[in-house]
Amino acid sequence: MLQRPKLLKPAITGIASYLRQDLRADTLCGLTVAVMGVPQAMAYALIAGLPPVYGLYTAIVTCSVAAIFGSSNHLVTGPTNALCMVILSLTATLPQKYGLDLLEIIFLLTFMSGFIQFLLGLFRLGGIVRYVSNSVVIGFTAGAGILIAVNQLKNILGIDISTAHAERLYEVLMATVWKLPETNPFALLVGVLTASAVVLIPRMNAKLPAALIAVVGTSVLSFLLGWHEPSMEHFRIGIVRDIEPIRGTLGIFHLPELVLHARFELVRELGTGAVALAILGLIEAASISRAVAASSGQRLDFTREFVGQGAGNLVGSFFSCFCGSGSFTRTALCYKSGGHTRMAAVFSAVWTALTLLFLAPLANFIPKASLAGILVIIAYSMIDKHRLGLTWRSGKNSRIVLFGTLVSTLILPLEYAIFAGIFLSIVILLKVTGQTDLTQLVPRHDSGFDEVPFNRAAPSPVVTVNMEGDLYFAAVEDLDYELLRCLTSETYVVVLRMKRLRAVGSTAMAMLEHFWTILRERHVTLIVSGIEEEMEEVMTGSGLRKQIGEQNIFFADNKLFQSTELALARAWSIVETERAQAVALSGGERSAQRQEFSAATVMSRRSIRFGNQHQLREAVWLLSEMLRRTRDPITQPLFLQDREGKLAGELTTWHVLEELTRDIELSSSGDLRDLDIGVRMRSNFTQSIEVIARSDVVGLKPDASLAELVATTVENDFTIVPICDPESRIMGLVSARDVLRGLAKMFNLVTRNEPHG
Amino acid sequence: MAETSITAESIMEASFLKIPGDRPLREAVSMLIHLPQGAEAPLMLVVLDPDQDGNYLGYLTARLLFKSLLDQWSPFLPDRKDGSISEKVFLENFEGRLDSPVSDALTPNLPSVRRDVRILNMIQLVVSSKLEVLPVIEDGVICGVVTLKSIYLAAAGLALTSETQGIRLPE
Repeated sequence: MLQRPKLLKPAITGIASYLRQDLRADTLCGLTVAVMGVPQAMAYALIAGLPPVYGLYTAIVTCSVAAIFGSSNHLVTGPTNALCMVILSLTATLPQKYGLDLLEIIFLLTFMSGFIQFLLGLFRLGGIVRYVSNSVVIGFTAGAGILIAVNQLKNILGIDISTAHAERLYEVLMATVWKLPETNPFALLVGVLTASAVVLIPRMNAKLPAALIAVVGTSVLSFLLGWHEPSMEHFRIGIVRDIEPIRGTLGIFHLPELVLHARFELVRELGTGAVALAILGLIEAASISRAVAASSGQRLDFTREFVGQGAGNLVGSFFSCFCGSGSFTRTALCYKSGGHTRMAAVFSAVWTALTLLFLAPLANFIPKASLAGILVIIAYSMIDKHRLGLTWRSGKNSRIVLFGTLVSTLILPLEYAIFAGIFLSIVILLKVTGQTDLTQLVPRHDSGFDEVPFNRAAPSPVVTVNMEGDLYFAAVEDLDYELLRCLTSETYVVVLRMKRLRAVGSTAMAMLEHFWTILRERHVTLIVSGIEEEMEEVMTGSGLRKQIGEQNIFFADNKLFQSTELALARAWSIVETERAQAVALSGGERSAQRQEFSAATVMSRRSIRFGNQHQLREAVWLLSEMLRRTRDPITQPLFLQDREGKLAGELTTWHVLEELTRDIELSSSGDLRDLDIGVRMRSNFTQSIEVIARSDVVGLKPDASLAELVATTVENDFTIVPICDPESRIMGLVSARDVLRGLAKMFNLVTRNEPHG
Repeated sequence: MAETSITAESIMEASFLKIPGDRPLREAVSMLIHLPQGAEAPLMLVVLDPDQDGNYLGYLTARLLFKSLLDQWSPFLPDRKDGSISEKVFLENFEGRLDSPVSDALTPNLPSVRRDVRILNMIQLVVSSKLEVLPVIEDGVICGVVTLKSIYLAAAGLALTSETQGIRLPE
């Protein structure tokens, strides 16, 4: 069932309703999320090179503000692993370079990212994230996971490495390997125990907060055994207090100096990174909230969500927070724990704040190796092996984008890695769409077309090419020369079916014009069919419509291939006309080829005869069925026959229509609905057709000449002339078109056998 | 939901054969009878003004072509009194006209309709003038054609119900 976001209504009734229905669920859900979120937040701060307490600040303030201004009922905003890795990559070297405090630089970065996100949301430009493909996100996340795991090795091993570039995998690995002999076995033990607990506890009971239990367990173990004491000397394990003691206070409001007194060169240096952080944060928030909304049925407002994310980071920068985004694990937990409204995320922030206030002294003794153990397991889960395998098998293009992004993440600064991934996916997209598929259409004997690979159809005076795909500038190059490949010495006409073309621009028009010019030089006519409105406008504007000629342009219809069939009629008429002209020029053959035609040679033997004792209703139905089942646009009349089978009359569609509408006054019919018209028409249904039909129909003899057929057709307003035997029984029918066809053969306007209808 | 009426726009065909009026008649004849195997030949051919692109001049069907030619060849008209028809004159005249412009063979002042014309008006036009086609014109430009067949099928669709279909065989 679809839900709409439950707004925080100031009205008393709204608050009372919330207190009654949702408060308990949100409060408990918030506690559940906080239990998982607290160790996670502290660990993620470590990724960014920050004291763990700043992770808690972010999990409090950024989370609350983003929830209040956002849209999703279940999205929990806060520190995320990928963003923290990017923050580390962006800021690791800056304190030394500018002589500034790392935290101030990070607050400035957070402010900038939040501002960008806020603007994107405000101006409804959030749709930009849809152009970042899934492959890019999977590749980037996997790469970030590898970097996080490698960077946390030092904490698990209890070694001290200093490297300027934490995002450079090779550098970090080499430094780690170099310092392996200095491994602290106690730190290693703590790290391994933590990681093992995080993996094994859910297998025993999925409902248990594994990370919290692991951290608390190893912290208690290490505390009780005194592994954090200075007396351990080289084997002393580092604890949170060593980075920065966590004070049990919420006095976190802080005016970021670098925001208030911006340094241009620093802002410029952080600019690209801030954009990358903003986009990455929005992608995470959008994809996570969308995934949960698919299960919860909530309809999201992504513009509002982006505003919420931006507001969260903007405000957070004034409360000692670093850049945060939607967390998948905490969001999924919020949904599964039965959170009702966005207040669930706010309550998780409240519980986190309470933890900070009352448990801070205990938190200071958490070993860094313990947090690193959690991070290594989280990093492993960031490498989505299933999706990586699926993408590897699904196609070259996805493979290139995903693994290209992954490799970029490992070798480039992270903010450039995501842009590299976006660039790759756009290049691939352009490559894929920058192609126009060409096939040839070969008319089938009965009806319709066979589609054959391009340039594989048998030589024919008329070549029909089906074009599909995008015809913008990238796809157009050399297309005219490609099309020329299907021409042979026999070709008189080329028909281009363009119904399935998209994105037609000026470059395409220039190509088509060039193609038309080449064909004209070769005395080949160009006909185009399936022209949609967009193409029509471009052709008219470019002048190509005038060049090709109105008679050679066939606009798309809702009937499949209708315009192409008409284009072929035009094409073959050109072929036959030119052939006939060639015959005329050669002289002498025409008179020898003139045949004698009569009714018998042009008539069709198919006719529908109808007893004259039926009612109008039956005639209406039969004519309707006849017309529906034939493709012939000519409306063949019903020829009535008496009980002896002799021609007794003719019932045309005009007769039937006239009788159906006899009682409907045209002048007053404007207010009639179609349904009412139908009712009025049925009032004459019982009329006998013998009364309605035309009785003065005289059939012609089989030896009637074409001239006589023409005269009879014209004088009597016939669409079809019946040909009868001496006993007045119908032998066949001749239409004006049949006569015309006979005349065309007689005067060599056609040079091949025409099928009779 | 608003009830929609059957109008010319709802039953017209947007795709049709066309030819500039200055092309020879032989070309028009060739177009009227040609179609790939298995399909039916087109019913009509729209004739456009060669000097003003896209402007409608008229249309031709085989029937209208003969009517127009006979109107112009009064000496040819069959002499019913003695039953003879001047076949030779007919063929000579027809052959002689093959190189003249298509526009010369048009029947003038044939009815046309706008997009919003309703079914009853279309029925009245085709019945009174014994037409097989109604061109749909907008600002002098033809935007579609309505055939007698589509008019009939639309009318039959209104008239017939599930109870009124079928034929009762004679007892």
